Formats: sequence, structure tokens, C-alpha cells
Amino acid sequence: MKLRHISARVLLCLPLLLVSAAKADTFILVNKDAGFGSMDKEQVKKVFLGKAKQWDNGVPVNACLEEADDAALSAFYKDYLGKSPSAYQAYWNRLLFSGKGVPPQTFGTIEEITAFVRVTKGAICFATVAGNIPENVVVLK
Amino acid sequence: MPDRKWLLRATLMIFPFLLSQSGHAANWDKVSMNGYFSFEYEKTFEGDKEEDTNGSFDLDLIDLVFNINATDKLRIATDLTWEHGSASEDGRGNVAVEYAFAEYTINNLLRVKAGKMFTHFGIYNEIHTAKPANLTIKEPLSTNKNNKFGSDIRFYPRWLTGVALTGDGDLGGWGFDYDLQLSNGETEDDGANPFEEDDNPHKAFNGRVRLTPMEGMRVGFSFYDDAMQDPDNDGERFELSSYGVQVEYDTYDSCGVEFEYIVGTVDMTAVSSGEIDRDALSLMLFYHLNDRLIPYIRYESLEPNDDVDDDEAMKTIAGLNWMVDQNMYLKFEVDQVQTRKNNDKFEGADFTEFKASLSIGF
Repeated sequence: MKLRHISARVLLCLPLLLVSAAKADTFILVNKDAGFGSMDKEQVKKVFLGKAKQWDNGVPVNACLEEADDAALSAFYKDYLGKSPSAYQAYWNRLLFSGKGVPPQTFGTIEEITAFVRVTKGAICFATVAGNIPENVVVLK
Repeated sequence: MPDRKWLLRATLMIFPFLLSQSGHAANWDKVSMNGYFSFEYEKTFEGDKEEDTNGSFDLDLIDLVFNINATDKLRIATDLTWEHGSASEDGRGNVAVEYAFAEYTINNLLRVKAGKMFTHFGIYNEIHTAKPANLTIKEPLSTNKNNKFGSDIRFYPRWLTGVALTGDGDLGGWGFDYDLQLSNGETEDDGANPFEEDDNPHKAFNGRVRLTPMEGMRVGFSFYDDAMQDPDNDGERFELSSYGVQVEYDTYDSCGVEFEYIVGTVDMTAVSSGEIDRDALSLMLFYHLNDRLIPYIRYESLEPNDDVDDDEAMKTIAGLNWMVDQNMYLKFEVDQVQTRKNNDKFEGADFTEFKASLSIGF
């Protein structure tokens, strides 16, 4: 998989609605050390299904999910990963328990998500954000 | 030896505490703990063979799975199991390390592993104990536990200790993943521990490649090759080789399929007499009624020795997997076994069992 390298100075971009949810906008947030500013759906899928453990620049992938409202998370699973929540669980059960990989971490609040993304090299997280996008966090197109 | 077993069990019991008491205190941000639990009931209610006519509850297992991100590129992974209500003082149950290995990521296409691992072969071996990861209560006997179904020896060992290469990639639009393992293999000598030493100079070599040609489908090919010491013939070795093909299809919204076929040879030429050719298949169909209910049927068959007539064993199961809550499953099954008169394990017995289980992942 080739992930695009884009200068950090052009990484910050206007927030873009990735998934519509009833209550809040949803985004994929990325630590700047990941070294890119956009991904297509196939690349997002590889990251959240454990097929990519490293970015092209050698920085490890650290994926996480916000424990968002059911509709938002279900829409993310379906639109980007092609799975229902139970199918996502079943998929990761096989990988995790066979020793093949570790599923994305989950966090309960956007504050925990943004704190994780800010300080964790190669972090990429799905989150819902109501209001302003936090600083020092890249929002993917 | 009894002292060493006691020490192993004690160490496994206090492993989580040892982590925090080491000279370099554990950074729990780098450690994740997961696991799974299984509780079962089974009763034989019809047939020739009295497997369990009393009807028995079984604390099948509880496993703890630890992943430690020692560095950005280095992961230590281990699965520790306590099976069948382990009670070492009374010699009951089993305590074991299902796997424990270090994995170093060079890039997405190449990761290097060292330690004790599941043998990477087919669909089920790596998940045979992880009951929440399986639709059915047990893995197929024909392809995964053929030594309990009429064969003298398994197609491949459950676990291996050695080194491995693994990785994921894309090839012409098809996703793929692969595993290659070089290990001590298994041993027929009850006094030897293959997770500690090899009882002969020949190393076992096995591998698997899986291709994803389209969404929801995966096709795989596996092989295993080893030479094993025959404890009844000092210095003589027999060769074990097996080859498998697998197909998995599941879009999680309708029908699904899991299929395995294995052929193998036990070459006894150097030891006694000729070769034993055998083969086995397992075919499961299932259907997602909704997000929680999945009925399934599976057919298995084993030919333990092509040169022996009437030694085959067949098994048909029908069941229901019900996700009661997130990662919590109830399973109900009826298993029918049919065997021919020269089958070494069941000697022509036919019987039917009812099984139920509770599986939880966490």
C-alpha cells in the first residue's frame, strides 16, 4: 500500500464531513507524524482492519475509535470497512485471539481521542466532533 | 518433572503481577489485555458409542491474551490458558501457553517472529480455542483433530516453536497475507518437549498464503513438512507432509461458506512399511438471519488410510449461533458421527450428541 507524503505545511485543511450522523459531524483525525493529509476508503479500511501496521515513512500505525453513538459508528463501519458492528467484532476476534493483531483502541470522549492523537506517533482515529476541530490535529480529506 | 510443572503453573498464575514487579516497571499504556471464556454442556443421547451419556458441564477454558508494545516496532504477544477447571493439586485440567512470541515489524510486507506459535495452516488451527471467534462449538475433527477421529497422527501439529516470517500486501488488486514457519516440529516421544528441543536434525517447514480476490472472499493454500523420530525404532525417522486448500466467503448479510480440504502422507518407508496416504474435508454453510442469529450446518469426512477399506469417519452438525450481547454468544448444536468398522477410534460406532455453549470475548 502506498500512502501519499504531503508536506506538513499543507496538511491542515478545512474540516470535511466524512460521515453524516444524526447528532454530530464525524471525522478521521491523524497525528502529523503519519506524514500525509489524505487517504482513500481502501486505505482507511486497511488501517482499521489491521492490514497496515506501518505508514510509508516507517511510523507505526496507532488506530483508535471513539465510542460514538451507535448510528455514527455503525455508519463508519459500513461505509468505510464494509462491515456491521457485529461483523467488525467477529473479524477482530479472529485476528486478536490468534495473535495476528490488536484492534484499534477505543476511547469514551473526544478529549481522550484528541489527547491520544496529539501525542501518539502515527495515530489515526475515527471521532465525532461537535464544534471546533482541535488544534495540532490533522483532519483528513 | 512434577516440580517443573508446578513451577510453570504457579508462574502462569502470577504472570500479570510479575510484569509490574520487574526491575523495569511496566508501562501499562503499552500493554493490552483481552481474553475469552467458554462454558459447555454435552450429552450423547443416541447411538452405539457412549461418549458422554450422563450429560456434563465443562468449564472449558478461560484464556488471557496479552499484547505488549515493547517498542514502536516490537510486539510481545501471549495467550495463557486455564482449561477444564485447572486444579494442579489434584492433577485436573490443563494450564498452558497457547502462544508466546516476539514480533518485529520491518514493514507491512515483512514481520519476523520468534517463539511458540500456533501452526499457521488452514482456517481453524489458530482459533480452535478462541470460541467467540468460531461459529461452532468445536473445530472440525476431520481436518483439525484427525488423530481423535481415526488417524494415527495429525496432519500437522497444533503448536510450533521456532521462527517465522509473516506479512500483508497487495498483488494486482488482490490482497494477500502469508506465513512461513521454521521450527522443531512435533515429536512422538512422550519424554521430549518440542517447545524446548528438537529430537532430530530435520527442521519442520510450513507455510500458508491467503488471497482476497474480492470483498468477503478469501482463498488459501497451506503446506507442512517434517521428519519425526519413531520412538519404537531408534534413529529411524518417518516423514510427515500435508497440503491444504481453504475457501472462506462471508459478506455478513446472507449466506456464508467455510471449506477446507487436506491431503497428506506419512512416509514410513525408512521405519517399517510404505506410505500412509490420507485426506479430509470440512464444509460449512451458514446464513445470517439478522445481526445476531446465524444457523449453520457442517459436514466433515476423514479417510485415515487410502489402503484400508471401511475406516472412514463422517460427522454432520447442525446448530445455531446466537449473539446475546456484544461479544457474548450462545451456541446450540446436534452432532451426528458415523464411522466404518475399521476406523481405529470408533470402530464402526454411530452416535448423536447434543451440545450447548456460552462463549464470551473480552
